[in-house]
Amino acid sequence: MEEDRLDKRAVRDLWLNVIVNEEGSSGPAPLYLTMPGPAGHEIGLLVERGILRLSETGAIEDPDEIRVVAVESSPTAMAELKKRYPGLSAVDGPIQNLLRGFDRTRMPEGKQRKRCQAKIVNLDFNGVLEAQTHSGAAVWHQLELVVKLAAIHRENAESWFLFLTFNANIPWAKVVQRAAVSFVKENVERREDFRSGCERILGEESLSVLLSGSQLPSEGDPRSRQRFMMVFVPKKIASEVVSLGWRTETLANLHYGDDVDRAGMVTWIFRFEWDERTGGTPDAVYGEAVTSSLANCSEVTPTGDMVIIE
Amino acid sequence: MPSTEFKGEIKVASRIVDYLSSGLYKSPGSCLKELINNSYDADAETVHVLVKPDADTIIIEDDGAGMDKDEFVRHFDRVAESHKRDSGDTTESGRPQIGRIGIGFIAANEICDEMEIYSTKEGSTELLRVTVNFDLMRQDVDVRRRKGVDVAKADYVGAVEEAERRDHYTRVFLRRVRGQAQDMLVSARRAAHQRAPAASLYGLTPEQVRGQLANPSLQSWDDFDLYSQTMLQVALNVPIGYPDDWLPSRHASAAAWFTQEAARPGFRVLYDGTELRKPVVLRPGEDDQDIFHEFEIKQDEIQARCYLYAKRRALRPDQLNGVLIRIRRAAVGEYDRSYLGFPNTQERLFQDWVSGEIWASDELEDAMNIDRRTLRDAHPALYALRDAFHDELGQFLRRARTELYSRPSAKRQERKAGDQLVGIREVIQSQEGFSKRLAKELVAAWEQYEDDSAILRRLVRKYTVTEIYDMVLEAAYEALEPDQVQRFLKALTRRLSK
Repeated sequence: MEEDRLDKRAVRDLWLNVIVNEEGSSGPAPLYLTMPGPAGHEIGLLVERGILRLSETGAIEDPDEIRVVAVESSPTAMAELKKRYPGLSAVDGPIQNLLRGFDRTRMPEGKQRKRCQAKIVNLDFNGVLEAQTHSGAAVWHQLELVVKLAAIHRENAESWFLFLTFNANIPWAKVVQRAAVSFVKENVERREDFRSGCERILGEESLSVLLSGSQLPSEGDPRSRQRFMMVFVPKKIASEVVSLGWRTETLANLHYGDDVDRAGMVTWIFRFEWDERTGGTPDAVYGEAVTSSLANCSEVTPTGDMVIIE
Repeated sequence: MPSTEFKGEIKVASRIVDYLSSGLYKSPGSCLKELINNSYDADAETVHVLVKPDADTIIIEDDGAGMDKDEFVRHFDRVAESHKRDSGDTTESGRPQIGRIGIGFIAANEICDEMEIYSTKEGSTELLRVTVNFDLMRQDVDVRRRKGVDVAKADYVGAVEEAERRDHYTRVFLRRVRGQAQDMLVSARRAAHQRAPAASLYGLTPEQVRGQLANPSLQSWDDFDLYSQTMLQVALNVPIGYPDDWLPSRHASAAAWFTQEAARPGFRVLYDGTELRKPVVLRPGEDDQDIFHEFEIKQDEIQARCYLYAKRRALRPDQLNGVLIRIRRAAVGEYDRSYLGFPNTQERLFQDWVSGEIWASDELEDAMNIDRRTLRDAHPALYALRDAFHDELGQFLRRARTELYSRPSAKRQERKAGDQLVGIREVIQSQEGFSKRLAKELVAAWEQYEDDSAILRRLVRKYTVTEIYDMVLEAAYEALEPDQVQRFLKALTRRLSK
């Protein structure tokens, strides 16, 4: 099972370290918003680390504080989670329901909004990053959710964290692929540090093919597609949120779960820092974010070790 | 619409509408208990009720028999007026059924606007999923009238999906829970108008809950937060067992039938992880001054198994004062402090010392109104029950007076008198000028209090200043010269007036 795999456990340990470090800093907002799955392994780990305390009956102590919010796509899964951890704040339905869809103009209000202001948000998608065109422009659905979260966090203007995970397959239409490649190329051509990072991550040959052909590595080359995701996603997020006042720092950029014929997973840990410079010199801020996006790229091996990509 | 999907309206007979419209279920706890009783009727062994932290969505899940689409439509298509059942209406496992499933689900509309039900039966690969929308209820009744006397109360949309063959459960989600109901269900305050948090039973084990209820400082369930008050209301009503040591151990044998009967169905309710027990903890009286009386009522019209418990001083928490009726193990409303209309001038003081239960036979169910909280006064079964119960209660109250009041009162008086005598001895024996013979003579005047009630009364009596003057002056004139009387009186006045 995914939950038992050593590579996933290693990733989860990274998450837990961030959560433990930030435990005292969330203020009135929840500490952690996550999609734990019906078995709630992650919740169990939070209990082990003392982030959540249980009473003798196994119920969450001080439930009214709402430190952790679990989002479960199915009511059945939510019920299982709440039976296992009575008192846990749990919302059923896909995460986009909590955020009122992918449309940036529709935002959650009241209690739902407060949940989205969690200090740490974990969007652990089992599936791929979905994309389509809208009025001729490529739109990546789950990244729209990230932008909405960034907009919601603007109210507090305090740093917050995002854990983001996708299946590294790329099922995008050709027009979307071209848009993504074009986006990456833009900084490859403008920033030398980004170019060298891409060479390191993608490999010289793959980069060259990318730059010349304006298309992604073929579906028969899942590893290269996975590496493309590692390059594309943090940069895309950085570009979308800089206008909202955020500078992103990519604390971890990882892939794991590789198999011979399978792309595996890609996962990131981002810190969003409020940066006043975004008002005057957004390009500079964006540039810093892009540089950091490839600074900590690693592979998590099946035994759970992290190997830096060089 | 795909073939597995279906929809319809929930209709009720108009008389039921009257009841349902008039605040039939006076609290969110009443609604929850109806749904829990439904689970009991479905032969569930365990029910989970999940409310905290904020009752945004309330989940009630049971491992009962489940229902399929046909059963759902049958229960809900028309909720009939009569709550009578066919005789011998028991579940597969032999439990006498408590409620009518349609009523139970409709009760949910009092606290939420939408209900989602998932259910599957053992051996079936079908999962029933239905969403019931109560918004229809908010429309004018004329819009909702259907043929005959029926009124539509809600509409529903359902589908049949796949399930594991071995599963059997019903899972109810109450969604769009109303703000006020949410507050009553989860508030950490004692009452809506208060600010400060109150003691809570959340997260406690049954033993810890029992400990809280047994605490002598607990005067009322109102001392707990609203969340706990709801929990206790639910626990009072549903067919679960008593806590361990629910009454003083010397009465455990006499109460055994009730303890065993309550536990017999093996039905458990976990309320946010806390296993509920009946919130009946009968505290012992001081110095074991308490009495327990168990008896049967056997009349042509009704049979019942009853107990009455009394301890010295007002019984607390006050929610347990009175008599509670159970039919088919479920409570009818709350404790009745009128004791089914017992004259409240008769042994008034001792009525406050008593708690009791009546486990009545099915005949009484016919007397029950559809709200399951009240009974129709003139019903023959209730009439017969009341008469027989009042006889027993009258005798019990007289016994309480004798055993818990008069005798202990007399003993207390004797103890007080004894203490006074000790004090008198000390005062007299400490007088240096008094001979031993005189001291002995003075004390002897009081020592007969144990045999002479007049002396005892005088020993413990309190005197006013006027009475002291009267007695002392009388004695002074008898024993002293007039000028000595005056000096004595001045000295006495100085002491009394300081």
